[in-house]
Amino acid sequence: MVEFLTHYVDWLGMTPAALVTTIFGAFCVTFVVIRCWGKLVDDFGPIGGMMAAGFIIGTFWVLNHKLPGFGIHPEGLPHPEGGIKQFGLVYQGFRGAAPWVDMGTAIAFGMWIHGIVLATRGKRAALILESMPRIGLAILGGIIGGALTGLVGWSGANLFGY
Amino acid sequence: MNGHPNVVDAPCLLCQVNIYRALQVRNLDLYRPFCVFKTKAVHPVARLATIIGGAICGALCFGIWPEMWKSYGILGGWLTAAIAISICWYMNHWNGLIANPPGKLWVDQGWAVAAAGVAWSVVRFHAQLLEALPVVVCCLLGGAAAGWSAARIAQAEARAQSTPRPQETP
Repeated sequence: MVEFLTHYVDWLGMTPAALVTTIFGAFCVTFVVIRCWGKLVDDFGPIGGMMAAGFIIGTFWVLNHKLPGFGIHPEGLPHPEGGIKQFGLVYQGFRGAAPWVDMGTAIAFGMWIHGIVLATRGKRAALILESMPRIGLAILGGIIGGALTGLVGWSGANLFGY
Repeated sequence: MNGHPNVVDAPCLLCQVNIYRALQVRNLDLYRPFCVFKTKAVHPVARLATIIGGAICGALCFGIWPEMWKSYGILGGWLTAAIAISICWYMNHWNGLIANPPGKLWVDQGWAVAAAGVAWSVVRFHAQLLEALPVVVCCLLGGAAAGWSAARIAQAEARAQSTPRPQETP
Protein backbone atom coordinates (compact mmCIF):
# COMPACT_ATOMS: atom_id res chain seq x y z
CA MET A 1 0.00 0.00 0.00
CA VAL A 2 2.71 2.46 1.01
CA GLU A 3 4.76 1.47 -2.01
CA PHE A 4 1.79 2.10 -4.31
CA LEU A 5 0.99 5.43 -2.69
CA THR A 6 4.52 6.77 -2.81
CA HIS A 7 5.73 5.69 -6.26
CA TYR A 8 6.04 8.51 -8.78
CA VAL A 9 3.52 8.20 -11.61
CA ASP A 10 5.20 9.68 -14.63
CA TRP A 11 2.18 10.62 -16.74
CA LEU A 12 0.48 12.12 -13.72
CA GLY A 13 3.53 14.06 -12.60
CA MET A 14 2.97 13.12 -8.96
CA THR A 15 2.48 10.21 -6.60
CA PRO A 16 -0.94 8.72 -5.83
CA ALA A 17 -0.48 10.01 -2.29
CA ALA A 18 -0.14 13.55 -3.67
CA LEU A 19 -3.30 12.99 -5.71
CA VAL A 20 -5.25 12.03 -2.60
CA THR A 21 -3.88 14.85 -0.47
CA THR A 22 -4.58 17.43 -3.20
CA ILE A 23 -8.21 16.38 -3.54
CA PHE A 24 -8.63 16.24 0.24
CA GLY A 25 -7.04 19.65 0.80
CA ALA A 26 -9.17 21.21 -1.92
CA PHE A 27 -12.30 19.66 -0.41
CA CYS A 28 -11.53 20.86 3.12
CA VAL A 29 -10.84 24.49 2.31
CA THR A 30 -13.77 24.79 -0.10
CA PHE A 31 -16.22 23.24 2.32
CA VAL A 32 -15.15 25.49 5.19
CA VAL A 33 -15.29 28.61 3.01
CA ILE A 34 -18.79 27.79 1.76
CA ARG A 35 -20.09 26.92 5.21
CA CYS A 36 -18.43 29.60 7.30
CA TRP A 37 -17.50 32.70 5.32
CA GLY A 38 -21.05 33.83 4.58
CA LYS A 39 -22.16 33.07 8.14
CA LEU A 40 -19.26 35.09 9.56
CA VAL A 41 -20.25 38.03 7.35
CA ASP A 42 -23.85 37.68 8.49
CA ASP A 43 -22.78 37.65 12.13
CA PHE A 44 -20.07 40.31 12.18
CA GLY A 45 -20.49 42.31 8.96
CA PRO A 46 -17.39 43.28 6.96
CA ILE A 47 -15.22 42.64 10.03
CA GLY A 48 -16.44 39.05 9.90
CA GLY A 49 -15.29 38.74 6.30
CA MET A 50 -11.88 40.09 7.17
CA MET A 51 -11.68 37.71 10.13
CA ALA A 52 -12.61 34.89 7.79
CA ALA A 53 -9.73 35.81 5.50
CA GLY A 54 -7.26 35.19 8.32
CA PHE A 55 -8.97 32.33 10.07
CA ILE A 56 -10.03 30.35 7.00
CA ILE A 57 -7.59 31.24 4.23
CA GLY A 58 -4.63 31.74 6.57
CA THR A 59 -5.19 28.54 8.46
CA PHE A 60 -5.84 26.52 5.36
CA TRP A 61 -2.81 28.06 3.70
CA VAL A 62 -0.77 26.33 6.38
CA LEU A 63 -2.55 23.08 5.62
CA ASN A 64 -2.45 23.34 1.83
CA HIS A 65 0.40 25.54 0.74
CA LYS A 66 3.05 25.58 3.45
CA LEU A 67 6.24 25.50 1.41
CA PRO A 68 9.15 23.15 1.98
CA GLY A 69 12.17 24.64 3.71
CA PHE A 70 12.27 27.20 6.45
CA GLY A 71 12.70 30.92 6.87
CA ILE A 72 14.65 32.67 4.17
CA HIS A 73 15.90 29.40 2.66
CA PRO A 74 12.74 27.96 1.15
CA GLU A 75 14.53 25.97 -1.52
CA GLY A 76 13.24 22.80 0.02
CA LEU A 77 14.51 19.80 1.90
CA PRO A 78 15.87 17.25 -0.57
CA HIS A 79 14.25 13.86 -0.44
CA PRO A 80 16.67 10.93 -0.16
CA GLU A 81 15.29 9.49 -3.40
CA GLY A 82 15.41 12.79 -5.24
CA GLY A 83 12.91 15.59 -5.54
CA ILE A 84 11.64 17.84 -2.83
CA LYS A 85 9.70 16.96 0.28
CA GLN A 86 6.16 18.18 0.13
CA PHE A 87 4.52 19.64 3.22
CA GLY A 88 1.30 21.14 1.94
CA LEU A 89 -1.69 19.05 0.94
CA VAL A 90 -2.04 20.68 -2.49
CA TYR A 91 0.80 19.23 -4.53
CA GLN A 92 3.25 21.60 -6.18
CA GLY A 93 5.87 20.52 -8.65
CA PHE A 94 9.38 21.69 -7.93
CA ARG A 95 9.62 25.48 -8.12
CA GLY A 96 10.37 26.44 -11.69
CA ALA A 97 9.20 23.19 -13.25
CA ALA A 98 5.43 23.38 -12.77
CA PRO A 99 3.18 26.43 -12.36
CA TRP A 100 1.81 27.26 -8.93
CA VAL A 101 -1.65 25.79 -8.41
CA ASP A 102 -3.52 27.70 -5.75
CA MET A 103 -6.33 26.50 -3.51
CA GLY A 104 -8.26 29.47 -4.91
CA THR A 105 -8.96 27.23 -7.89
CA ALA A 106 -10.84 24.83 -5.67
CA ILE A 107 -12.66 27.56 -3.73
CA ALA A 108 -13.84 29.43 -6.81
CA PHE A 109 -14.95 26.29 -8.64
CA GLY A 110 -16.58 24.87 -5.54
CA MET A 111 -18.62 28.02 -4.88
CA TRP A 112 -19.67 28.01 -8.54
CA ILE A 113 -20.78 24.35 -8.33
CA HIS A 114 -22.52 25.14 -5.01
CA GLY A 115 -24.61 27.78 -6.77
CA ILE A 116 -25.45 25.43 -9.63
CA VAL A 117 -26.58 22.62 -7.34
CA LEU A 118 -28.72 25.01 -5.28
CA ALA A 119 -30.40 26.50 -8.38
CA THR A 120 -33.62 25.08 -9.74
CA ARG A 121 -33.15 22.58 -12.51
CA GLY A 122 -34.49 24.56 -15.46
CA LYS A 123 -32.46 27.69 -14.73
CA ARG A 124 -29.03 26.13 -14.43
CA ALA A 125 -27.93 26.49 -18.07
CA ALA A 126 -28.88 30.19 -18.16
CA LEU A 127 -27.05 30.81 -14.89
CA ILE A 128 -23.91 29.09 -16.16
CA LEU A 129 -24.00 31.08 -19.41
CA GLU A 130 -24.48 34.34 -17.49
CA SER A 131 -21.57 33.65 -15.17
CA MET A 132 -19.10 32.63 -17.89
CA PRO A 133 -18.04 36.13 -19.01
CA ARG A 134 -17.65 37.25 -15.40
CA ILE A 135 -15.43 34.25 -14.64
CA GLY A 136 -13.42 34.97 -17.78
CA LEU A 137 -12.93 38.58 -16.73
CA ALA A 138 -11.80 37.58 -13.24
CA ILE A 139 -9.34 35.10 -14.77
CA LEU A 140 -8.12 37.74 -17.22
CA GLY A 141 -7.53 40.14 -14.34
CA GLY A 142 -5.64 37.43 -12.47
CA ILE A 143 -3.44 36.72 -15.49
CA ILE A 144 -2.62 40.42 -15.85
CA GLY A 145 -1.83 40.86 -12.15
CA GLY A 146 0.14 37.63 -11.85
CA ALA A 147 2.16 38.19 -15.02
CA LEU A 148 3.03 41.75 -14.05
CA THR A 149 4.04 40.59 -10.57
CA GLY A 150 6.14 37.86 -12.15
CA LEU A 151 8.09 40.50 -14.03
CA VAL A 152 10.01 41.33 -10.84
CA GLY A 153 12.05 38.24 -11.66
CA TRP A 154 13.26 40.20 -14.70
CA SER A 155 13.99 43.45 -12.94
CA GLY A 156 17.62 42.49 -12.20
CA ALA A 157 17.40 42.49 -8.40
CA ASN A 158 19.08 39.48 -6.82
CA LEU A 159 17.91 39.12 -3.23
CA PHE A 160 18.73 35.85 -1.45
CA GLY A 161 19.42 34.37 -4.85
CA TYR A 162 15.89 34.80 -6.18
CA MET B 1 -24.32 41.81 1.39
CA ASN B 2 -27.48 39.80 1.78
CA GLY B 3 -29.49 40.90 4.76
CA HIS B 4 -27.41 43.99 5.35
CA PRO B 5 -29.69 46.63 6.92
CA ASN B 6 -28.13 49.52 5.01
CA VAL B 7 -28.17 47.98 1.56
CA VAL B 8 -30.68 49.76 -0.66
CA ASP B 9 -31.57 49.72 -4.33
CA ALA B 10 -30.07 52.61 -6.25
CA PRO B 11 -29.82 53.67 -9.88
CA CYS B 12 -26.70 53.08 -11.87
CA LEU B 13 -24.26 55.99 -11.80
CA LEU B 14 -23.71 55.84 -15.52
CA CYS B 15 -26.99 55.11 -17.24
CA GLN B 16 -29.43 55.85 -14.37
CA VAL B 17 -31.67 53.09 -15.62
CA ASN B 18 -30.65 49.86 -14.06
CA ILE B 19 -30.65 48.98 -10.43
CA TYR B 20 -27.61 48.39 -8.28
CA ARG B 21 -27.73 47.70 -4.58
CA ALA B 22 -25.78 50.32 -2.71
CA LEU B 23 -24.43 50.41 0.79
CA GLN B 24 -26.12 53.38 2.41
CA VAL B 25 -25.14 54.98 5.70
CA ARG B 26 -26.74 58.22 6.90
CA ASN B 27 -28.35 58.82 3.50
CA LEU B 28 -24.96 58.69 1.80
CA ASP B 29 -24.27 56.07 -0.83
CA LEU B 30 -20.99 54.67 0.39
CA TYR B 31 -20.68 52.58 -2.69
CA ARG B 32 -22.83 53.01 -5.75
CA PRO B 33 -21.19 51.36 -8.73
CA PHE B 34 -22.48 50.65 -12.18
CA CYS B 35 -25.42 48.63 -13.36
CA VAL B 36 -24.83 44.95 -13.81
CA PHE B 37 -27.78 43.48 -12.00
CA LYS B 38 -30.74 43.92 -14.32
CA THR B 39 -28.83 43.72 -17.58
CA LYS B 40 -28.05 40.52 -19.40
CA ALA B 41 -24.53 41.52 -20.34
CA VAL B 42 -22.10 42.92 -17.82
CA HIS B 43 -21.71 46.67 -18.01
CA PRO B 44 -18.39 47.69 -19.64
CA VAL B 45 -17.23 49.59 -16.58
CA ALA B 46 -18.15 46.66 -14.34
CA ARG B 47 -16.08 44.46 -16.65
CA LEU B 48 -13.15 46.79 -16.16
CA ALA B 49 -13.79 46.74 -12.42
CA THR B 50 -13.75 42.94 -12.39
CA ILE B 51 -10.44 42.86 -14.26
CA ILE B 52 -8.88 45.45 -11.95
CA GLY B 53 -10.09 43.65 -8.83
CA GLY B 54 -8.71 40.35 -10.07
CA ALA B 55 -5.40 41.89 -11.04
CA ILE B 56 -4.88 43.56 -7.67
CA CYS B 57 -5.83 40.43 -5.76
CA GLY B 58 -3.52 38.23 -7.83
CA ALA B 59 -0.64 40.69 -7.58
CA LEU B 60 -1.02 41.01 -3.80
CA CYS B 61 -1.14 37.23 -3.28
CA PHE B 62 1.93 36.38 -5.30
CA GLY B 63 3.85 39.57 -4.72
CA ILE B 64 3.96 39.36 -0.94
CA TRP B 65 3.00 35.81 0.06
CA PRO B 66 6.32 34.12 -0.85
CA GLU B 67 8.30 37.00 0.63
CA MET B 68 6.37 36.91 3.89
CA TRP B 69 6.87 33.15 4.06
CA LYS B 70 10.58 33.54 3.43
CA SER B 71 10.93 36.18 6.13
CA TYR B 72 8.56 34.97 8.84
CA GLY B 73 7.79 31.34 8.08
CA ILE B 74 4.39 29.88 8.93
CA LEU B 75 3.25 32.98 10.80
CA GLY B 76 4.19 35.13 7.81
CA GLY B 77 2.00 33.03 5.54
CA TRP B 78 -0.89 33.18 7.98
CA LEU B 79 -0.42 36.92 8.41
CA THR B 80 -0.41 37.43 4.65
CA ALA B 81 -3.82 35.84 4.40
CA ALA B 82 -5.04 38.10 7.18
CA ILE B 83 -3.74 41.30 5.58
CA ALA B 84 -3.94 40.60 1.83
CA ILE B 85 -6.99 38.38 1.41
CA SER B 86 -8.97 40.42 3.92
CA ILE B 87 -8.57 43.72 2.11
CA CYS B 88 -9.00 42.02 -1.27
CA TRP B 89 -12.23 40.42 -0.06
CA TYR B 90 -13.38 43.77 1.30
CA MET B 91 -12.75 45.44 -2.05
CA ASN B 92 -13.85 42.65 -4.37
CA HIS B 93 -16.81 41.15 -2.55
CA TRP B 94 -18.01 43.47 0.20
CA ASN B 95 -17.69 46.58 -1.95
CA GLY B 96 -18.54 44.51 -4.99
CA LEU B 97 -15.74 45.32 -7.41
CA ILE B 98 -16.08 41.85 -8.95
CA ALA B 99 -19.49 41.76 -10.62
CA ASN B 100 -21.79 39.49 -8.62
CA PRO B 101 -25.48 40.14 -9.31
CA PRO B 102 -27.88 38.74 -6.69
CA GLY B 103 -29.48 35.47 -7.67
CA LYS B 104 -26.68 34.63 -10.08
CA LEU B 105 -23.79 32.22 -9.70
CA TRP B 106 -21.04 33.43 -7.41
CA VAL B 107 -17.78 34.47 -9.10
CA ASP B 108 -15.08 34.36 -6.47
CA GLN B 109 -11.77 36.18 -6.41
CA GLY B 110 -10.30 32.68 -6.20
CA TRP B 111 -10.53 32.53 -9.99
CA ALA B 112 -8.19 35.52 -10.16
CA VAL B 113 -5.81 34.09 -7.57
CA ALA B 114 -5.66 30.76 -9.40
CA ALA B 115 -4.93 32.42 -12.74
CA ALA B 116 -2.41 34.75 -11.15
CA GLY B 117 -0.50 31.85 -9.57
CA VAL B 118 -0.08 30.14 -12.91
CA ALA B 119 0.79 33.34 -14.79
CA TRP B 120 3.20 34.46 -12.08
CA SER B 121 5.17 31.23 -12.06
CA VAL B 122 5.20 31.02 -15.86
CA VAL B 123 6.61 34.54 -16.20
CA ARG B 124 8.95 34.46 -13.23
CA PHE B 125 10.18 30.85 -13.15
CA HIS B 126 9.52 29.77 -16.75
CA ALA B 127 7.17 27.08 -15.49
CA GLN B 128 5.76 24.65 -18.02
CA LEU B 129 2.07 25.46 -18.31
CA LEU B 130 0.72 21.96 -18.93
CA GLU B 131 2.50 20.43 -15.94
CA ALA B 132 -0.07 22.13 -13.72
CA LEU B 133 -2.94 20.30 -15.38
CA PRO B 134 -3.19 17.17 -13.14
CA VAL B 135 -3.08 19.25 -9.96
CA VAL B 136 -5.64 21.69 -11.35
CA VAL B 137 -7.95 18.79 -12.16
CA CYS B 138 -7.50 17.43 -8.62
CA CYS B 139 -8.29 20.86 -7.17
CA LEU B 140 -11.40 21.16 -9.32
CA LEU B 141 -12.51 17.67 -8.25
CA GLY B 142 -12.07 18.45 -4.56
CA GLY B 143 -13.75 21.82 -4.91
CA ALA B 144 -16.67 20.38 -6.84
CA ALA B 145 -17.14 17.64 -4.24
CA ALA B 146 -17.17 20.24 -1.47
CA GLY B 147 -19.58 22.51 -3.35
CA TRP B 148 -21.93 19.65 -4.10
CA SER B 149 -21.95 18.26 -0.58
CA ALA B 150 -22.31 21.69 1.02
CA ALA B 151 -25.27 22.42 -1.25
CA ARG B 152 -26.88 19.07 -0.39
CA ILE B 153 -26.40 19.75 3.32
CA ALA B 154 -27.87 23.25 2.96
CA GLN B 155 -30.89 21.84 1.12
CA ALA B 156 -31.43 19.21 3.80
CA GLU B 157 -31.18 21.86 6.51
CA ALA B 158 -33.70 24.08 4.72
CA ARG B 159 -36.06 21.14 4.36
CA ALA B 160 -35.71 20.24 8.03
CA GLN B 161 -36.44 23.83 9.05
CA SER B 162 -39.50 24.13 6.84
CA THR B 163 -41.17 20.93 8.05
CA PRO B 164 -42.81 21.35 11.48
CA ARG B 165 -41.35 19.21 14.19
CA PRO B 166 -43.65 16.85 16.06
CA GLN B 167 -44.82 18.23 19.39
CA GLU B 168 -42.91 16.90 22.32
CA THR B 169 -45.15 15.20 24.83
CA PRO B 170 -44.71 16.61 28.31
